[in-house]
Amino acid sequence: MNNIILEANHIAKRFASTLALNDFSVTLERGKIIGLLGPNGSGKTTMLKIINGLLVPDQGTVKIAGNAPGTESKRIISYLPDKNYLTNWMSVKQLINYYADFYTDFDREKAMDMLKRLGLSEDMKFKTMSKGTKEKVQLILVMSRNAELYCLDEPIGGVDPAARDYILHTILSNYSKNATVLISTHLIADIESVLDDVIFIQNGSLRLHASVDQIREEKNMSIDSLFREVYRC
Amino acid sequence: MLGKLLKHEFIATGRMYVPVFIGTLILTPLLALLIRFSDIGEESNIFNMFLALSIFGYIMMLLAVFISSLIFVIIRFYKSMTTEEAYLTFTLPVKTSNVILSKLIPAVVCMVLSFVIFLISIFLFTLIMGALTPHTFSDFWRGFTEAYPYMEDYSSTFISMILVTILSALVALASLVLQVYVSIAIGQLMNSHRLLTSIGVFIALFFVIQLLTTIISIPIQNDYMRDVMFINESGNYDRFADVMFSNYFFSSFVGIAENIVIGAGLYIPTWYIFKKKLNLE
Repeated sequence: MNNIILEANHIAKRFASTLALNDFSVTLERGKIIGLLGPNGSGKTTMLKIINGLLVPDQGTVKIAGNAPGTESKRIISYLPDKNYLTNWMSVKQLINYYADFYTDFDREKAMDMLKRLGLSEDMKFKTMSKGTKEKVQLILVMSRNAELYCLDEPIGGVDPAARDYILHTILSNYSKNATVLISTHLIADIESVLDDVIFIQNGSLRLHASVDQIREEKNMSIDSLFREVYRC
Repeated sequence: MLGKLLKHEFIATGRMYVPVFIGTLILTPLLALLIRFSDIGEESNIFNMFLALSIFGYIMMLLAVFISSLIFVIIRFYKSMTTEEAYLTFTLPVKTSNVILSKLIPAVVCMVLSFVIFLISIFLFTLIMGALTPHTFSDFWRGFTEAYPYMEDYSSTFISMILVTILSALVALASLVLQVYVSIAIGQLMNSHRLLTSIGVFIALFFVIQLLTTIISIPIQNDYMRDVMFINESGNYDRFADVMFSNYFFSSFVGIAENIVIGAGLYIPTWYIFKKKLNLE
């Protein structure tokens, strides 16, 4: 199996007057947990949407396991958007059935197990849940797939610190050795310990792509400190 | 995968339509009874007010059945294809064509069901109002059997007419739904004023399509009028039914062909936009 899960070449995307992505190129290997880091509005969400085929870039190409975004890539990517994207009127049980119907890699037992751990009932309706609970359910569904690439957009933004720990633990333990996890966030300190690589994105361009160990060795600083230095206002 | 998409779409649309259907079937006898017993044939302000209100209520309800069925089509497509729900719709490992078809088929089916509910409601209403009695049915049947020998020559024509009419209605409905879809698709290309753009596109398309179909129908109706005049002058009235039927079939087939061409013309850009130009907020 080819060791490259994602290849983005010279991606550009403009919204009205702002250039969200500008000649952004990156290559991701299998089996890594990668932080996609950058301040608000730096292009993280736009990049994830392009990878998932929800936006079409103005220029450049994206290949996921060799395929442009499409049916094949959607089969192997598990995507957590930064929105409450699930159908409001459904119960957790209905949502699980929905996922199981469409994604052959969905592991129902894994989902039930995580629900139990986080004290969530499958009879709860999505509509009546709090913001944080909705995020937990979404993350459970996304992480219950045995995908090859997970794209998580701000997965821990709205949840309490205790659940945050459990979720990070879930992300770490629940994915197979060959899968890649791409996490976009600005809560760096919380996830720093689980990352293998980091990508710094600034004004839509790649600023840095390196392994966490390399940064610690060469610069002798944590990712959080490096981030604060790079993006100093 | 189309099967699974259809299953979930029927569930999602069913939850909107079924309450309207059930509500209609419950309200119809209630309103009919109210009308029947308010109409006591005497001058009484309170009863007359009841009567007027319940008749008005019944007409509004029938209107609501039709309007809601179209509104549900719009809401369902708009929400699942362009809002947050679209994040799930478009990350499912399914083809864009299947996604659109899985919206179109339940939309047409539910609109047809709305019409069936409308007919049932009218039937129930007349039944309860006392306008229909067992006599009505037996009279109708007797009339039918008496008239049948005279219509026998045309029985296959009548059956084909019914089939052609149903087919015309289905194709016209699908074309209307696709007109909604393409308007929403074009609207989502914009970075702002999406809904306004969609409404504008829909109205513009409506006028263009009306204009085109009217232009196409003019020569057909002219021919028909010429034939009718000819019969009138020659006094050969036996041919009148033939001319009328053939005009009906011919204009129906032209209508079906038009709607298929229009439907395809609306579907292709819808498909292209959602496949190649998806622009989720």
